[in-house]
Amino acid sequence: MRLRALRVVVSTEQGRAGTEIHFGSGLTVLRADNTSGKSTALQGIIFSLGLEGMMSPRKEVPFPHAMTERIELDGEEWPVIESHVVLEVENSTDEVVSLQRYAKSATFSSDLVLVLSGPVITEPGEYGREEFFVRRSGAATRTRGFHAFLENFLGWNLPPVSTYEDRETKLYLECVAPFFYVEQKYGWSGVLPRIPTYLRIRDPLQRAAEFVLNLDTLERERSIDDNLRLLTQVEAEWKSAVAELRSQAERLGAELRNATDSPTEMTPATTPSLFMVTEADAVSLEEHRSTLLKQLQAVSRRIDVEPTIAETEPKLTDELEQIQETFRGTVARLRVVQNEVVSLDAQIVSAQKRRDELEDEHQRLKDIALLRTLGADVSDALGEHLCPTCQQSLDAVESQILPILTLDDNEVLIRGQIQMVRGVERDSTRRIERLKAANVTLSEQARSQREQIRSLKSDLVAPSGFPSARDILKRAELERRIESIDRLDGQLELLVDRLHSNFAIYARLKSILEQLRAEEETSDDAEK
Amino acid sequence: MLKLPQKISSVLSIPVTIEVVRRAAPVDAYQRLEWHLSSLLLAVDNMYGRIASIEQLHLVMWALRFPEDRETFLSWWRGESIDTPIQTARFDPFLERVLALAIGDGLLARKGERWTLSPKGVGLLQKIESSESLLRNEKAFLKDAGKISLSAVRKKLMDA
Repeated sequence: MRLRALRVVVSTEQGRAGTEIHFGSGLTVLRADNTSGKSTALQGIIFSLGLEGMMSPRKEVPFPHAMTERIELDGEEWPVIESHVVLEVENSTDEVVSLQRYAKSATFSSDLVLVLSGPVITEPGEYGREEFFVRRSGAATRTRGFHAFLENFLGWNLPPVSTYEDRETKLYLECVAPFFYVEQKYGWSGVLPRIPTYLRIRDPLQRAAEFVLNLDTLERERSIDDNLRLLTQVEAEWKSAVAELRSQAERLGAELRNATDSPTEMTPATTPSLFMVTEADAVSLEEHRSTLLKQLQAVSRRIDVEPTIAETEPKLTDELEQIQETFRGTVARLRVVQNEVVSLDAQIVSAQKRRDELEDEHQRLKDIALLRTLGADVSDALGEHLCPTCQQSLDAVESQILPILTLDDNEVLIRGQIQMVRGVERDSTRRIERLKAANVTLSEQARSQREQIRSLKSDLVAPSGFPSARDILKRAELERRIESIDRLDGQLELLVDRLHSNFAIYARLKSILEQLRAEEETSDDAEK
Repeated sequence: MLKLPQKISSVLSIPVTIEVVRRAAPVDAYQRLEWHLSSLLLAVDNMYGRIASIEQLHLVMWALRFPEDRETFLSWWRGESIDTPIQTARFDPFLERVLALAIGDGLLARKGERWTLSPKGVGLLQKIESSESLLRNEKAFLKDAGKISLSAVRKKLMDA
């Protein structure tokens, strides 16, 4: 873009004041005495481009008093009624427009830029006029936004970049413009310009430099961001899928094994599986299902072919005694499991309390290291660990057992203890999970045994010639359990499929990310 | 240092010297001067009128030591019922030494029977305050407790 001409106009009751500057095609040098308006002219250019936001987030019009309040004309001060600037610019396809923006006006807001479709200053005439808004949200993206217009006029395509909130936004013109302008006060102190940070764009200087120099890095950074976002999504989905199946398994007294909470821990060899848990051991879901199936077949056979109650009464009495014995055993085991859960709960609470204390202690030791530095020049006790009166070591004040551990060693010791307590917490939590699953299984067993006892008792008083009520009940229950196991198994299959496809996506994303990170800069970039 | 008898040295046929060194002992952070001195400055600053008596300091420095004591203190201070008794009779000799050191170091000044921050102490306190993470738990506790006056402490202790 080339600047062709600038016009600054201030209207008062006494008449109009202002100036017109024509820029040649090469370098233009403005030379004038102090306070004659060089800076105002420069600000006029920035203002007409709606770029004052690159210097400050404030919304005020960035002009001196003479443009907005009062101006001196013929030795007398007059209030400013209206003021505006017009900038005539030309783009790389020789298209010329004039940008008019009011600093003070009763009719036009300073948030408006009038775009006139011709060289209003150098070739006055009637040109088409369009209004665009600026310095308001959407100015860079919406059709009526002036910066969206300017970006298009410049033939630019500003890239999307990340904000601190991890959102994607456009690299604003305010971030790029400082590369084409040297600010008077700070500008010459270094090569790099000051880029506004209030726009919340992450690394705005780097992003703008990459854009201005047309580096491929920007595209690469964006790919990394996109891939990272996808990676997080995959991880979240993974976690929720595993958690869902785990809770479904728990309801059946089963335990999900070999399912990692995150794809990072998974290897192709790990296949999640389900186990039915008792307090002593665990059998695979398949094995458990086949046991149940055998029981179901036996019960069905009994119902269909076995003799009636009258014939089997002595056998039923024996069975009742046996099942009552088993029931007592189950209840006793249940009580043991429940007691252990209570005691483990207490152990976890006390480990958590100890961890709190140790973490507090660990924080304090780190604080002490900082306090030594902070206090070095004010306090002998803090800086040198010496008595301010006799200049002797204060170690003996802190402990009667000497020597005392250095701060670093003490920190290592506490860190070790924290790890140990965490280990206890982790083990107890794991054990408690298993016991809770066993609790569900045992409660279920106790319930079923109680029902068997009840039905055996009713069989013994039932009229002879009936099939056993206990067997019918047992058959219904076994069918129900097998059905829920099959359902759970189906869900496991779905989960495994889902995890495998997620793992493939995850691995692919990882490798893309690694590749992107490895290409620190492309060879083209190095040349640029 | 302990030298082995000649006999053993000759058996091994190499000169052997065994050195016995006492193992360094860990010290609780609250017993370390840096923590105690700095927390003391925070505590004095948190007293009503920025002036502290020995009762106030013993009580607050006791409460500051452990997370559980801090919680107990806050519940008690708010008038809630508590399971663990407040250590009303516990006078920590270590605090007396730290107070003497703080006076010697010019961080605290005596005003009759009470202590207040000296300009040097205020300077150090400002440095401590300027780092948000430094003594974070201690600062949070004192903020929760609010300004602590001597009369309130005496009344609470009488009721305890």
